[in-house]
Amino acid sequence: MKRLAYIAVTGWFALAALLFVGLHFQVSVREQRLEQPIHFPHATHIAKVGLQCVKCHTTVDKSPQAGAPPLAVCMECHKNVKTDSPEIKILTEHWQKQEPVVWSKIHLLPWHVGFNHKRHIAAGVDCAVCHGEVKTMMQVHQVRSLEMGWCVSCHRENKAPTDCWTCHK
Amino acid sequence: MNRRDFLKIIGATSGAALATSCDRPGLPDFISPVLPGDTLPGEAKLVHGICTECPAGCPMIIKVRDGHPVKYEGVPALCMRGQASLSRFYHPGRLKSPILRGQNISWEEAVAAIEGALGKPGPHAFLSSRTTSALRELIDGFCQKRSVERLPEFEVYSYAAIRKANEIVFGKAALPFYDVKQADFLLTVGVDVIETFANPVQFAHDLSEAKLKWVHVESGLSLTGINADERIVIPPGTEAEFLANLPEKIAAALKNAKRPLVIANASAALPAAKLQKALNSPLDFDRGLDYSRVGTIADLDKLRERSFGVLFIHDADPVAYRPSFAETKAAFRVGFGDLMSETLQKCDLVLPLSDALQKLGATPAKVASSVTLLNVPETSRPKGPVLVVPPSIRTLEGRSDVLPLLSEIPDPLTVVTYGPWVTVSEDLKVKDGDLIEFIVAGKTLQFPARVMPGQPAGVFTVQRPFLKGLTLPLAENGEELTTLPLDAVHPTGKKLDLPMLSGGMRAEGRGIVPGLEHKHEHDHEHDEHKVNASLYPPHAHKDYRWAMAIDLERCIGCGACVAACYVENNVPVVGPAEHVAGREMSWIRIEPFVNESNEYEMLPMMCQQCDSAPCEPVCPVLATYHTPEGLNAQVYNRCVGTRYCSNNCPYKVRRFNWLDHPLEKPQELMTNPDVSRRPKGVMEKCTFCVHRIRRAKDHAKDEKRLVRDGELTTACAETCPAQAIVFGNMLDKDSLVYRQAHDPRAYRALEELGTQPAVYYLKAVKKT
Repeated sequence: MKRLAYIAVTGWFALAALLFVGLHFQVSVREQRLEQPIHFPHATHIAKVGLQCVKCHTTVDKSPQAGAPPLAVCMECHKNVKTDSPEIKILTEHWQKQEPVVWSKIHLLPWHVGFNHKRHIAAGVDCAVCHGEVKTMMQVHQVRSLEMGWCVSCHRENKAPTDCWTCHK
Repeated sequence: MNRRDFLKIIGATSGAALATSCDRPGLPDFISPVLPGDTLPGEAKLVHGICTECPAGCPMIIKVRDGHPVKYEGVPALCMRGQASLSRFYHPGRLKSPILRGQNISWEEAVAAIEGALGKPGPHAFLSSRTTSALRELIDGFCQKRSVERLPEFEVYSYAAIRKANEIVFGKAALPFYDVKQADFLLTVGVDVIETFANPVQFAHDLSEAKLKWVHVESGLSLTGINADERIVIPPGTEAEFLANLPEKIAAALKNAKRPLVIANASAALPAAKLQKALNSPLDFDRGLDYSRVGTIADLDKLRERSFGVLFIHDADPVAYRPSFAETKAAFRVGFGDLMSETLQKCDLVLPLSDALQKLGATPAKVASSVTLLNVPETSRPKGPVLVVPPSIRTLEGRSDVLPLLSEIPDPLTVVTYGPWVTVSEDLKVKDGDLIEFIVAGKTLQFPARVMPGQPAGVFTVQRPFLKGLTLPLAENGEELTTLPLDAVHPTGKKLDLPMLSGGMRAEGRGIVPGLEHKHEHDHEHDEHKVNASLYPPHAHKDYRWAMAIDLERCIGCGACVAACYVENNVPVVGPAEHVAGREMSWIRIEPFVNESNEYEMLPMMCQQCDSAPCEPVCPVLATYHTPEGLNAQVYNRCVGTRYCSNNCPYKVRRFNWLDHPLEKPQELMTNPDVSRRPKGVMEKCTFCVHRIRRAKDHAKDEKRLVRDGELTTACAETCPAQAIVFGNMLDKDSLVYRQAHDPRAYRALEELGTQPAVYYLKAVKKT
């Protein structure tokens, strides 16, 4: 009976250890390529057309929230540019119906963390520090872990506040 | 293996943690196709609006985040009902389409149905609740065009008697604006001026700025009464008699005052109006609320004698207060409303109203008291027990009881949350929760008792919302009687668990409210008990040390701060069962304290953000700690729920999430995005609105400066009608909070424990 209990306890913890290891090897979120409603090639817009990030992400230096650009921003150019491309046709359809494109969000923070884009831009942090070389990405994916340790290491290096309530909300 | 890995393994073992530890990729980011020029995602857009939760129509500012309202703020203040009315906007039960006898139909079909019914023989009639300006014109225009009779508007509290008296005395059949700021003496007789009467927020706000002596006369026990400088208790129903034979002291005070203001309830309206005229009371008939179209309940009863073709009932629930209205003869009833009500259930066609924010036609519009029991001639004393039926500060006549948040917040004076209850006096020798049986309006009711010190003997108080569905007798003036004789009243011997958010109302000489205790022999010299010794070094604060000062002389205990905090900080509504178990989640509460002379004082209590916080050293995982700005922080994802901190908190302000409280769609849109919604198993408490601090610092940093005094305030302070709460930086010696904290009246609760709270109370001083 006692032996059975030993086996049960050992088995329970072995299972836990197995799950823990499994979690580590689990396909990392950042490697995932999320399906988007419209295939938007960042690389084409930045490297080929020569647009700056803030051309479309207009609020990134004004607000805590960077925000995906509203459709009106896309249509500034795509009323005339590449109107026969199948992807732009989807875009135009949304615009005509005044229906928002529901993008899949890639850079997610946990529910208990707030991030202020404006403050980081004001401190001179380049977009690529957190988002990677988006200008080379045909499809955007997460490059950094966005985990607390990674945030804090940068905050320590740059003597930015490391008080919990700076980010934890 | 480090601590973090160990915790991870333990977490994995329990299995449940697995599901939540996975990130959820691909949450949609919903962006409107076109952003208006003045919209900045992540920042609140401020839109002007008018609160429509009660007829006062307070102006307010609506904070809109990412396209939906997340908070209302008063200009300058908003009450509990106004704060909670945001949940009406997001109420899951909001009517979505027209309903014809239980079937959802389109608007075209609804219009056709009305047209068809209007073609049949009339007379047709339109009954609405009180309307003003644009909405009134719209309804008038419709009625004129389609020859529909406009009936007197329906309000339970119509102020008909006061308007009638003013017509006789002043020649103006209107409810005036009572300009308390102009007065130097205030006599209120049976009117709850800071709770529900006319425009209570404006009144409380003006009162906090007025310099006057205030005498309140009442037959029960009310929040208004305990806030007056002097509270006089008279037998129920003798208000007119009181005014006719004023006690010498009051008569002299009225005579000596330059601008005395007298306000009385319906039963004493005429003598009060005569007094107002004789004394030149500061009344302003131009600024009063427009009740000119509002009829009485007697007018409503008269409708039963007639028969109608189409009867429109707009934004009113007469059936709940006058069940016999359902028998009014009408071939086709059309009801307008935002939520299903008893009246709408009796309608053939139900039309959803636009939300409260788009309603047309809304127009904007103290201290420990001494108690005197007045001797009135025996003849006028009512024989036997009496039932007093006042409106409720939480739901008025009951219109707001569809908002669950208002049942969650305690009734300020009795601290009961989920009703009903009957307030009884200590003489009755019953305990809180004992079921009392009584007969009112022909119906036998059993309500749990709430024993209140200071409640006059023989007087039983039941708030009007708890008597919904009963037909109360009318007075000669056509209004409901608020004082009813009780034939039979007796305890049943049974007991209910009354959800009451206070263990006891006696301060027990602990100096929590020195204003109440100062006149006693054991005068609390809290300076002697001050302990400054600490095992820990003092905290260093660089730029900010946030602190709060609460002036108890100003605080009226109305509970607006509590509602504001609930909405601002996404505090969950947990329901009556959890309340009975003592698991309420409010971050700020109003504690009534009473002394041996039955004098009350209300004390707002929230996390005191102690410098030497007892909660901090006992946390095994460092989830609670002291920030460099003097705040006592709680890191939710680090908390493992040992509840040691709550055990060690002398102020009992920490709240534990025993359960998850999922929101029904679309309530999740009401969530303040700056504040986490805490999951099950996590401790939480007041943060001094740290998200507001963070935002104010962000804005200040843009301009390369520190946060200025007055630039930032907490949700509770912002909504306070009495301007009792001040928030700011203690390191700024010019700040208002610094000056208040160094006021001779300032003290800190349980200071002798050496906790060094950052909340300073300014004790109330007796004005005699």
